[in-house]
Amino acid sequence: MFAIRLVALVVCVTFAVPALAQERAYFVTYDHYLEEPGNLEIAVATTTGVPKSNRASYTAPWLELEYGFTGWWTGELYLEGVTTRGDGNGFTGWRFENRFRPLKSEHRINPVLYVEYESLNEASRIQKEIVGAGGLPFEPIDELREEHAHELEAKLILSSAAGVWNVAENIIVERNLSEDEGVEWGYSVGASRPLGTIASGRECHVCRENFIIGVEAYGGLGSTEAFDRQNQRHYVAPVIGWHITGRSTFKASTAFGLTERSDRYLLRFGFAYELPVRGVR
Amino acid sequence: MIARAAAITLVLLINHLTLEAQTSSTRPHDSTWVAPAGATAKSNPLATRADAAAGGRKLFAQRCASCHRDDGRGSEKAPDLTQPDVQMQSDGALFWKISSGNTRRGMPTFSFLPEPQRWQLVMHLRELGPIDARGRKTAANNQCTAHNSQHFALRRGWPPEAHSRFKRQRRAGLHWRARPAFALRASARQQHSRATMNTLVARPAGLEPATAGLEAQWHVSEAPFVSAGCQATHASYPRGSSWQIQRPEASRQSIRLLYEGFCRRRRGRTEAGMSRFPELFLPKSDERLDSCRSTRRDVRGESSDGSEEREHGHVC
Repeated sequence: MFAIRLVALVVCVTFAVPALAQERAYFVTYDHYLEEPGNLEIAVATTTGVPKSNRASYTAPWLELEYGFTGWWTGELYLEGVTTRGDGNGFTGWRFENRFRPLKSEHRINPVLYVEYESLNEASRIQKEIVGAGGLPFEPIDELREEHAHELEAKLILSSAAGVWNVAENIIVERNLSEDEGVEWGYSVGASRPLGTIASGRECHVCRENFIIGVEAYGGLGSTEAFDRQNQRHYVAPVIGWHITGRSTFKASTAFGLTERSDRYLLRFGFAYELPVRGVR
Repeated sequence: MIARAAAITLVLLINHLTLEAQTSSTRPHDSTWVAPAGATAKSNPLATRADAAAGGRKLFAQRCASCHRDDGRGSEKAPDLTQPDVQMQSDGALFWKISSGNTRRGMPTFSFLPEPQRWQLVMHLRELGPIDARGRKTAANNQCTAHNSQHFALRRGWPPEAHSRFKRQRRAGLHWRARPAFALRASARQQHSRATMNTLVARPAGLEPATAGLEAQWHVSEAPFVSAGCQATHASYPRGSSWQIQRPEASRQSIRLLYEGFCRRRRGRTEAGMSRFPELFLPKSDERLDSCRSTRRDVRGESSDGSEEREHGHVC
C-alpha cells in the first residue's frame, strides 16, 4: 500500500503544474479572491488556545480542501479535531462551505456570498469564525462530543484592493438547526499587504515580495435571543503569510483576547499547498 | 502490489496525456471583455525600469503560465496572449484586465498583487508575441528597439512652446477626425515641462466604444521612433514617462496615420530620424520614407479645406 501511495504521490507531484497560491494571510477573514478554477488547495492548520482562569489549553487541527469549480464559485471542505491537555482528543466534525462571487470584474468594493453547512459537536475549537456570545465550554471532550449541532452559516464578504493593501470585512450570521438559539452574529475585519511591491527577477524564497503581513479582528456580537456585551468574545490578531514556493504558503497568527470571555490568546499556524487537478502545464 | 502500483501510474499518465491533448486547442478570446477608456489610457509607471521586466517574467511563470502556458500561447483554459488582438491593446488595458479578472470566463482577479507587480506582468506580456518564419518578432509585436541615448538626448529638452504646438496639432487632428477611416483624439496629460506625457490616441472610426481596446496611443514627439506595439524607455527620462504605439486591428492604416502626423510635425528631423533609425519603423524603411514624403503631398492634396491646407503648410 505504501508503494502505491508513494508512486501516486510522485506522479502527481511530477505532473503538477506550477501555480502560485493566492493564499490569504488571514485565518478568519475572507477576501474576495477565490480559488483558481481547476485548482485544489490542501491546507492543514491548527488553533492553539490558552484560556484564562487556568483552564487547560487545547489544540484544534483541521484539514481544508479548497477547490475552484469556476471563476466565481469555490467550494471548501473542512475536517476538524481537537486535543486538550490532560483530556484526550477527538474528531469534532466537518464543514462544507461555498463562496460565490456575483460580480464579473473588480470593483471598489467586491462582494462575495458565503454559505456553509456545519456538522459539528460542542468540542469544536478551531474557531474559524466566532459568533454569538459566551465562552467556550470546558467540559470533558468526551461529553462535549456527544452534543451534536447542525448549523447553517452565511457571510457577506466585502473586500477591496486599495493600493497595495487588501481590506476585507465579513458580516457573519449563523443559525443552529439542531436547537433554537436564534440567529447568532459575528464579524471579522482584516487588512493586509505584501512586504515587497516589486518582484525581483531572480528566484527567491526569502525575499520581501513573498511575505504578506496584516492584522485581523474578529468576534461574536450576540444573537437575536440575547445581546450581552459582557459575554462577547473579541480578538485582534497580527498575521503573517509566507509564499515558500510557487505552490506552498505558510501563515501564522497570534490572536489576543480583548474581553473577559476571550481566551488569553490563540496561536494559529497553517500550511497550504495548491495543485492544479484540472489544468495544463 | 507492483501491478496495482503500475496500474495507478498508468491511469494517472493517461489522465495527464488526455489533459495535454485537450490543451492543444486554445480558448478563444472574450471579445466582449473590454477595458474602460479611462483604464486604457493609463501608462506604465515602470516603463523606465528595464530591470522590472525580469520580475514580470518570473511573475508570469508563477501566476499565469499554468493557464496561458510558459510561452503565453494559451490553452483550453486561457487564450493565446501572443495574438495581435491582445498585443495591440494598450498597457493600461492589459493592466486593467490583469487587475480586474473575468470571473465568468475563468480569469482570476489579480488585484491582490501590488500594482507594480501587475505592471511588471504587462511588461512581460509585451515580450510575448508572434514570431515570423525567421524567428523574429513581427511588427505587431513589441520590438523595443527605440532605445538610443543620442536620439533621446535630442528630445529631452522639449521647448516650452511644445505645448502650444501640440494644441495646433490637436486642431490639425480635426482634419483626421473628418477622415472616414479614423477618429483621432488628443490629450495633454501633463504640463509642457513634462511634455513627454503628451499623448495622441487613435482608434478606428465607426466602431463602438466597446472596441476602445483597439486604440493606438503614442507620445507626440517620440512615437514615430518606436516600432509598433513597442514600449520604449530611457533612464534619462523622468520616472513615469513612457510612450507606446499600438497597431489597431484595422492595420497598417493606423501606422500610416501616425507616420503622417509625425511627418507633418517634424519636417527635416523626421527624415534624419528615419535614416538613422530605419529599423524602428516598419520592415521596409525605404518604402516608409517614400511613404512619408508622398503622404505629405497626399495630405495637402486631399484637403478640401483651405485653412486646413495652410495649417499643414505651416506645421510642415
